[in-house]
Amino acid sequence: MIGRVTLAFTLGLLSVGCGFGDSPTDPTVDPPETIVVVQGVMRADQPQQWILVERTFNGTIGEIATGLLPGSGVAVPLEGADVTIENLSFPTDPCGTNVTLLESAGPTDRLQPGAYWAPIGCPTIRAGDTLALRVASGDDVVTGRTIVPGTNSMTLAAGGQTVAVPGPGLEFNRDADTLLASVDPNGGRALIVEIRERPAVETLDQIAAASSFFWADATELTLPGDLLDVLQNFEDLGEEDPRDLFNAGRLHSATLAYADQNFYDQLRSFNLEITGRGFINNLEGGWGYFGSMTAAETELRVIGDVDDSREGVYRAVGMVEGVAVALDWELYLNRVSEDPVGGATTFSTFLVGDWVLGFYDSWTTGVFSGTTLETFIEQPTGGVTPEGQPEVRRWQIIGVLSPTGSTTLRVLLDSTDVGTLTVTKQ
Amino acid sequence: MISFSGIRDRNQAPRLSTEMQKRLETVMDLLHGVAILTLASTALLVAIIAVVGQPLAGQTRDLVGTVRATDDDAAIEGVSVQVVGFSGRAVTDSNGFFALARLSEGELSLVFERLGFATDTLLVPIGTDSVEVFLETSAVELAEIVVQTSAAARARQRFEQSAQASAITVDARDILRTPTFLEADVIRMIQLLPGTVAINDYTVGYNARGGEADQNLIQLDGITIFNPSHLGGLFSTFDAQAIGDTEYLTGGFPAHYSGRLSSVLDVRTRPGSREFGVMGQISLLSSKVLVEGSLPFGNSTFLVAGRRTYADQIIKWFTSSELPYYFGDAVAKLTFQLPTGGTLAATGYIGRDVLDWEFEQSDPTVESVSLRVNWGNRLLGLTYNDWIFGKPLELSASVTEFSTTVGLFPDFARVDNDARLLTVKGAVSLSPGRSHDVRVGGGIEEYRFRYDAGSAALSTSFLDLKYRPRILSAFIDDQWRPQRWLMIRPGLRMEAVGGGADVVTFSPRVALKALVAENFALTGSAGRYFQPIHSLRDHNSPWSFVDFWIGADSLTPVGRSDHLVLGFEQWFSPDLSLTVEGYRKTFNDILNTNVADDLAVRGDEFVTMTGDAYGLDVLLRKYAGDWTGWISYSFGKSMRQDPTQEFPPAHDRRHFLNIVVNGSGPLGSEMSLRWGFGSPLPYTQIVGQWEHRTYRVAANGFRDLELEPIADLQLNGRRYPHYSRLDVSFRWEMGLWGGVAHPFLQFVNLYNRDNVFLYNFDFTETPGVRRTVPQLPFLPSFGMEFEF
Repeated sequence: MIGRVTLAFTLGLLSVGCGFGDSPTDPTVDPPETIVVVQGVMRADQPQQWILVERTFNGTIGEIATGLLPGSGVAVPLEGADVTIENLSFPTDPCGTNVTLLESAGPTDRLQPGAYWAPIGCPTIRAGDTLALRVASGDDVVTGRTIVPGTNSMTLAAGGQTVAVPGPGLEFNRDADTLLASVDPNGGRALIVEIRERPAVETLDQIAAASSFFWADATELTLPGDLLDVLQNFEDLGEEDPRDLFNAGRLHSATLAYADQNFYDQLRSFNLEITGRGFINNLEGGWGYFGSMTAAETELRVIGDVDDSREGVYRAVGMVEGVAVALDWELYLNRVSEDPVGGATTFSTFLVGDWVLGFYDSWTTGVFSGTTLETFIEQPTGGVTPEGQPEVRRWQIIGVLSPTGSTTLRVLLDSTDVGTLTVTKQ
Repeated sequence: MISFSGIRDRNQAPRLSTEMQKRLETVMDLLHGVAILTLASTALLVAIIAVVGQPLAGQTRDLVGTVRATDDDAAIEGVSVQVVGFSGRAVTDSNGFFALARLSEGELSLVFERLGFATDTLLVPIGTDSVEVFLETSAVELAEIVVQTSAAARARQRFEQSAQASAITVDARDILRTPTFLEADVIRMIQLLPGTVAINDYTVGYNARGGEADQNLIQLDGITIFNPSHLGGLFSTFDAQAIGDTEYLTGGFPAHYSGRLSSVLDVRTRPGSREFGVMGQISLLSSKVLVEGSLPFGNSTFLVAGRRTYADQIIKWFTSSELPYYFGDAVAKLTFQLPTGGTLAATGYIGRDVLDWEFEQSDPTVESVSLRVNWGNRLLGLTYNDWIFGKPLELSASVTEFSTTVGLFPDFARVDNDARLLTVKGAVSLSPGRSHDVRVGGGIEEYRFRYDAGSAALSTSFLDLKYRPRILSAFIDDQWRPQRWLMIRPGLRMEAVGGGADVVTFSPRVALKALVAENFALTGSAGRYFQPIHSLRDHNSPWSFVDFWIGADSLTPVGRSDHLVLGFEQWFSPDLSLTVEGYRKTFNDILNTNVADDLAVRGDEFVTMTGDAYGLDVLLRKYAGDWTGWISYSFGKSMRQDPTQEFPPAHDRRHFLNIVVNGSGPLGSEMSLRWGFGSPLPYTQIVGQWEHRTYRVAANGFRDLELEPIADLQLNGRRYPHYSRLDVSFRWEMGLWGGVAHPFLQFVNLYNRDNVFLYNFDFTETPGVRRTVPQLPFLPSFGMEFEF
């Protein structure tokens, strides 16, 4: 009897509960007022300053633009704003008290709505200067300030060598050395190091995409030669093997920068998905940041230990497309195979010498299947593709490479034999 | 009355001069050493006593003893021990221990009484100074009501004999029966009591009377546990089968408690039974086993329990996938009955959550990358109860630690957090059995918090923080009964907080009960409370993975709260009581995390807040009969004030109703039903999203972006919909291989209400959309408890 009463009571509650069980729906939301978003970095090392001005998404525009900015467009640009920058530390700035930035003043290939460009060379930017930004559009007025950091020196050191940045490049043994980036700052807050492989031809978008980015609230940062670059494409970990940051047989670029507090704050903070709080907003009347930095770049020639018979220096001579060619190869097997197929081993090699279209000083990658080699050489023609990209010619080189003596390799262009190379281990 | 438990608390005081600081440090160092020496000396004394076997006695006769249940040898708390023809009287503590002083030297007759057990009388011959008594569990006829639960006895006893307000005893049986998510959980049950708000289904954190979750003192056998949860808060660290009784105080707690502003949850591990026994549970979450029995040496018992989740193993066995997470924990308790009649108990606990996510690496020559996160508690404590120099004494020493390691290996980045507390404390009761029951005590607590974050690969340290507050404390607490109908419990606690904070605090406390009628009492309490450690969490967030503890120092203040509680308690029958309490609390120097803190700057990790809370708690509880359970209703309002604005905290639930009913169910089952209703909780509106772009130095441009929401500047200005949930569980009993099995079936959120955990706004859609992230959906689960 008690059990029945219990059951009835339960069912009764259940029926009552049907009302409580109504689930909230996912309603649409009335668009809130938009907020002006400003993101900009002032740099004394750049000839022309620019600022990106947008609005927040509020449910009226649903498109998210991607690609390198400026140039590829943004979803919610704030067009037609009055944007000025004033160097408060230099009242006699020959550029004038308030430098006006215009959407039309940039390089033609980087123009886009929402990107505002200052005249070339303006405002005057010196270490220690305070720059003031003002963005006005209708009732919205956004202001911000930055103190430009300076450096007494920036250096890279590895393997007992130290070089100034900018300056001559540094040879770096990825199997033995640790790269030390140092800065002697004058103001500022954060050290930033970007490392990227530098091919013979690269676009700005490729530069941005290839750069691995490290930063620290410090004046020194060390990067071991065998560092796996897990932070680049972190979301792909587990699906793709992490890549080595440094690969022997390739040229790399190292960019050092020292940034101000505002840039550091935007680096280290972000709004949490749950709370919408966390980002350190240093602007008044808007959202984002107005920062500054000083930056410079140099070349890294990354080598490695030679511990495989296929590695080493080769001399390649021959005729390709009727042109006498002669290249010195400095070949290294990759530590981490990149996209290996069927147990193949990938390699990288510096190439220096005369090639079909003239002097060649770059590097390439290839694949060994045993001692059978396949690689490509790309050389700029000086022309431009219909898409606006630099035009290159691409030769395929295949054959069996002798790790001790000489061997002849085929050279193909568009799958047609166009010459041979005799390659000799040095 | 004899009661042995913890120490601690806090106070307020003037800041000390440098000279005074040095002196204080010197004194604290000295006393620290003295306390350790005292404990060591006591241990030595105990050993000597154990060897020699000579109890201490004077001209008169002292008697100590332990009371246990005949069926499982478990210690019984709250047994009244009365000497026939003599005014001496004592009540057993949580270890079943009692002590009587200055008795006559002749033969004694002792009467042992407690509801739920058969009253027994024992003749103690001349020359006997310690006894061990076994009481039979039995239904006791009281006014035609069959009383079956010990919780009723303790509640009635508290009503009649203690001035303490805002105290609730949770029976182990209630914990096991109350329906909850996958496994019985003491904190899940606490969340159903008045004055207590759980802001969502995913956390065992709770807020007591407008306080923050870090203001709850949670102890296992008197030892603090910093983060008592697994799986980011989904399950508590306490194994329900290993738990004896639990005391929950939501305010006005007495002078021997310290360290937190809002509540005390005192979970007691069962002493092991004298008979060897094995029990366990198999559920969808984990398997656990508990073993208990007598040790081969001395008069001692043990209890060891462990559990582990096994989803990772099942997935590995039956699929090619891997679940890189598990948690496990183990608790052990050893209880030694000393020849003097005293007890020495040791409690140990270790729990660990482990996430070891190794990313696949096709090249075997390269060390694979893995994300490893592990966190958990470890603790070890010793408690010694005895009768020394004519006074009941309790000494204890413990170390408790919570540590977290988050690392991206090999050597890319690592964050270590270690929170440790070393405690030495003692207390002595000066006048048991008189109208005054004065208890004095003191101790030393030394906190050590360490945060270390860096990258070995980049040779960079991001953060290296240390907090080491040391607290020297003393208290006096008097349970005074000037009239039969009046009980007053004044107390005072003094604490000297070192480690940079260098303040001395004084906490006056008082509780009062007037037994206006046989079954009706007016109650009240007031007190000042201090908290020298804080957990930094975003008060705007509904969820915190683990707590980030910091301690008081020259930059971090000691939190303070004042409590005032007034109410009444009515017993309608021996098994039905009503408690009504109104309260008012203020908070000073409580901390909210500073989302814009600079890792290189000390003292900006937080912003200080003040707060205010008031409310009314109602508990109607039925302890025995065909139906047991309770109805709890809470009204509360809580506000916070930070340097910029006033706002309601995320747990500001104005009305909360819980109905818990236990009784007979269909198919011969024991059924338990819980229905909860909560008024809306606040949240902060999202007012748009922005594209936080990644600046590339070499390209002087932006590439890639994170789409981030932007919150309204007014914190917690909106409210979610109301909350409600119905849970039902059925539990059967059957014989199994000579033992007893309890299969159970549970339904959580029976009507599958989408209670809102949080809102997710997407303004990149046109128009913008608000999506609900729900709390627990309808979830059936089953399992089985067994006992041999």
